[in-house]
Order: sequence, then structure tokens, then C-alpha cells
Amino acid sequence: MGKYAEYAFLGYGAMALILGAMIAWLYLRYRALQREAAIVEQVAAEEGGDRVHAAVGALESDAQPDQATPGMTGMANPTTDRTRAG
Amino acid sequence: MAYSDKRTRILKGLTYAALALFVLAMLMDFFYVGPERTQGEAQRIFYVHLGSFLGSFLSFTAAVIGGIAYLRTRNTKWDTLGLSSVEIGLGFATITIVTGMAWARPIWNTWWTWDPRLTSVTIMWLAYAAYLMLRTGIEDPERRRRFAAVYGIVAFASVLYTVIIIRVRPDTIHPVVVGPTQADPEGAFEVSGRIRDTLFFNLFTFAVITVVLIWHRIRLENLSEWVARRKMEVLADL
Repeated sequence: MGKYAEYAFLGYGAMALILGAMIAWLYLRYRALQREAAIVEQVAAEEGGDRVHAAVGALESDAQPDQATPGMTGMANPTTDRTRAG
Repeated sequence: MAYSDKRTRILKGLTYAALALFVLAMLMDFFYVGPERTQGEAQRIFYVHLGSFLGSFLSFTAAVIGGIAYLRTRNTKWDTLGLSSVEIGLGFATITIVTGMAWARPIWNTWWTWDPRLTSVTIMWLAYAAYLMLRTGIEDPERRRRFAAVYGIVAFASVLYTVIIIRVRPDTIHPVVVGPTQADPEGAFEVSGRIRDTLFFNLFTFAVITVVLIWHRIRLENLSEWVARRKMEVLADL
């Protein structure tokens, strides 16, 4: 080790620490945002699925049982409904 | 969030290049160039000290470009450039200050002195730290972006002041590497031969690292904005 080597190591160590912290912050923040994005998309997909179910439910409640075509349109079937209820 | 494959490939290539250049620069700093006659091993700090200052200078220049472009076009991508550049520049400025202190202790026999150059670099650091703090304090997005653009341009005066001060003030003890000076610095040395090669290689390396980090920071900010927007859309649908 030459003259003032400890200060050279101190300087380089500090530089590596700060630069490393900057890179780590970028990486960790990126990972956290990706996780957040996945959760948001999952919620959006679940919400989309719920809306489809709600729309089908609304159609079923509006439909007149005698006008419905059981098994074809997905509308309520009084026969099967009765069976299910029983 | 979707980017073109070409841009992503360029960023990936630049990232690997920056990593390789950094390793090479460290090898040059410690093995290619020898210790300086009077300053010994401590002189090696000078390569990363100057390199990191170049990084902060380039970043703050990018913030000025982003600020001017935003005020002219009102395109938010320029505001993102400004914010990203200031954050990365502040990191490099911190490296400059800390490495300078590690060099000053054996050469000036003190960690810190209120020399004009050290004072000006502290003012520069505080000016850009204030940029980040004040930015978060403004809620209206349009006002925040306008404020940040103007502040980013005005704050650059502190960078120019830091660059010029050692050339015009006779009472500074900070060495001048390039160009004339009126001062009689303490700790100056001749930049020639291997020292010059290593210095230029480090400057180039830090310039590449700066570009890569700003680019990644811009992508991070874009992703952050996209997530926030998507969250609002999903919440509005609930």
C-alpha cells in the first residue's frame, strides 16, 4: 500500500456506495411498480368479469320467461330455475 | 407500458457497455496509472471526482434542455427528462463532494474548508435538492411542471458559477485541471501521459453511465405515471 492509500479506498468506496445506492433505488422502485401494475391489472380483470356477470344478471331479470329461448340465449329458463330453486 | 424493441435493445446494449466501461475504468485507475509523486494514492480519487462532476454537469444541462423544451411545447416528456436529470445529477454531485473530501483530508489536511469552489458546489447541491423538495410541494400538475422547468433553468446558474469560480477567484485553493487560473492552488499536478489517458477514459465512462441512468430513470417515471393513471381508471370503474 502506497502513501494515502486509505484515503483512495475511502473515496472509491464512497463512490461505489452512492452509485450502487442510485442503481439499487432504480431497480427496487422498478420492481415495486411492476408488482403494483400487475395488481392493478388483476383488479381490472376481476372487475371486468364482475361486470359481465352483472350484465348477464340484468338481462336475466329483464327477460320475460315465456319469451325466452331456454338453452340458446343464456337467458333464464323457468324450468331449470325452478329445478335449481328446488 | 410498451416501448419499441429497437429502443429497448439500445438501452440494454448501453447498460452493458456502461458496466464494461466502469470495470475497465476502475482497472485503469488502479493498475494502468501509477500513484502521483507527491499526492501518492490519494491522487487516484481525482479520476472519479472529475468524472462524477462531469456526470452532474451533463445531467443539469439536460434539465435545462428539458425545461426550455417543456416551456416551448408543454409536452410532459420534457418535464420527465428534467426531473430524471436532476435526480441523477444530484447523485453525481454527492459523489463529487464526498470524493473531494476524501482527497482533501491528506492533501489540504482538512475534510472541508469554505473555499469559494467548495462553497459554490454546496450551493449547487442545495439548489437542486430544493428543486426536488419544492416540486413535491406543488399539487397542481401543470403548475408543478411549469415551476420545475423555470427552476431547472435558473438553478443552472449555480453550475456555471461552480465551473467558472476557480478560474476567476484568486483566493481559491482548489486545483484547476483544464484552462488558466488566477489562483495558486494547493494539490495541483501535471496532467500528462497515463494520467491524461486515464482521466479521459473515466470522463467518457461517466458520461455513458450518466446517459444510461437518466434513460432508466425516465422509463421508471413513465411506468410510475402509467400505473397511477391505470389505478385512477380502475377506481373510476368500481
